[in-house]
Amino acid sequence: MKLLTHNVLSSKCLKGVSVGYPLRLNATDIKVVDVDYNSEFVSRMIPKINYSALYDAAQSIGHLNGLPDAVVDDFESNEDFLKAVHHVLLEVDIVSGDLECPESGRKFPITRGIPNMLVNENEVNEINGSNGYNN
Amino acid sequence: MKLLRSIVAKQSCLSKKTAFLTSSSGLCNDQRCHYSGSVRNAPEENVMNIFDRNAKRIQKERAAMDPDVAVYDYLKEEVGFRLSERILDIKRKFGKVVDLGCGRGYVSRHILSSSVEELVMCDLSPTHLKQATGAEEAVKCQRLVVDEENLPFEPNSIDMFVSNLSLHWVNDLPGTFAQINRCLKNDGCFLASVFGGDTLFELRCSLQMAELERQGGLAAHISPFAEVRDIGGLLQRAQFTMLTIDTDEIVINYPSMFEVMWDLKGMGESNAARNRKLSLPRETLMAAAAIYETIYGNNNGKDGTRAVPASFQVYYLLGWKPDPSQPKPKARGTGQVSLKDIHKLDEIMKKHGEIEIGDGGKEK
Repeated sequence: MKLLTHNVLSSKCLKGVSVGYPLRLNATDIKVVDVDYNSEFVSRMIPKINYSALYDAAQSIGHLNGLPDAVVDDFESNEDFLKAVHHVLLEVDIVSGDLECPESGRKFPITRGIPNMLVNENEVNEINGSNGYNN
Repeated sequence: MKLLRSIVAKQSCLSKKTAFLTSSSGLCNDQRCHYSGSVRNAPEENVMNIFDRNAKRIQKERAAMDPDVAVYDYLKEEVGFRLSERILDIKRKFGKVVDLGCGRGYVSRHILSSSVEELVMCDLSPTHLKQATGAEEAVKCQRLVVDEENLPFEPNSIDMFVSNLSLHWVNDLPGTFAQINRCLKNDGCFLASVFGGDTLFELRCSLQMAELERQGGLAAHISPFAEVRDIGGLLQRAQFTMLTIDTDEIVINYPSMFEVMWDLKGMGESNAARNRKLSLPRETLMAAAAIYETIYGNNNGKDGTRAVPASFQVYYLLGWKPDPSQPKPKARGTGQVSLKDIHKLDEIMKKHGEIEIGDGGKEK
């Protein structure tokens, strides 16, 4: 699982969880894989991601690699920053470990790089038959 | 004329069989139904647990572990390809796309980097996910074990949701649609294919008639499917706009009813209703097979042999999360040409010189 995916995962569907984001990352096996660097893709992704969640996740697994704690002003043209984000977003791969809900402490296992986000029926937040998602 | 195309031949436990895929070119093929206006506010209902999600997960796992799993991909592969063409029809590059109920990657393998930057493949079955093939070289692919009823995504984080033939096993379809809408970014897209309406009506009728005759009563052996009007209403209720729903009918010919049931099991599409009967007496099955052959049998099998058809009605859904940038209908009374005079449009344009067609734009 890449940190790009971790950045959008939440446990809001759990009973009694109001935010459930970001999930705490506990990694037991990490693999760093080479991915072709594409500055255009990375600079397009930066405004779309939650940067503080990305920074915290990278810090928790010890793979900051010079990533600053906030987005730099000239990020589109700052190659060093873009390369650091590229490494953290796309090259760091969590092979095993778990994702932990920050509110309930419920753990979702990561096995062979695939997070298992299944929940039991009794854990689900059911409000008005729409699992807590009311428009 | 119906196009007949041989798509799979395999040895089943019963007999050597060949299935044929026929795309119906009748009226029901590719009908487009546009929904507009508002839906009456229905009272919020409690979720009815019709389907056993755990049983469905086990069925899918068992199907995925079959050494011949690829043999049963023909239907989902075909519909997945048709769905992927609809993604290419949208002239936009989507950032983060979620393939919900991806199976063995029936849509994912056709996705191009010109349409999608990052693909998250989700399925209830971990084994299916491991087997799923995405366009890894071109598109950044990730995998997640996810239940379609409980989506683990942050609100406003996904550019597009795609789902290929998996939402017909969801208990709380309104809730799932609402979750999808919530997770989509503004002007995000939801594209799905679902079995609906008259899917497997031949098998349903044959089993019902055989059970009535042999056992004096009947049980549900085929899960209920949504009708096109219901799906339109549910999508509107979940706040999707600019809805387009079109239907497609796929008819596959099999040597007998037993091959139909065998292939459904191989696809992981066995009955998962909570009130399902766990077994059927052999005499009822034999009677159902005879009824199926008598009422629906044809000579469209391999080399003109007898065959039985199985119909699959597929609905393709397209909806968008509302956004101020989306086109809106003009106010009533702003039209300048009556539809009954449309055949005289050339004369009207000569007479008036110009007709307003948009926001300040003039047609000269």
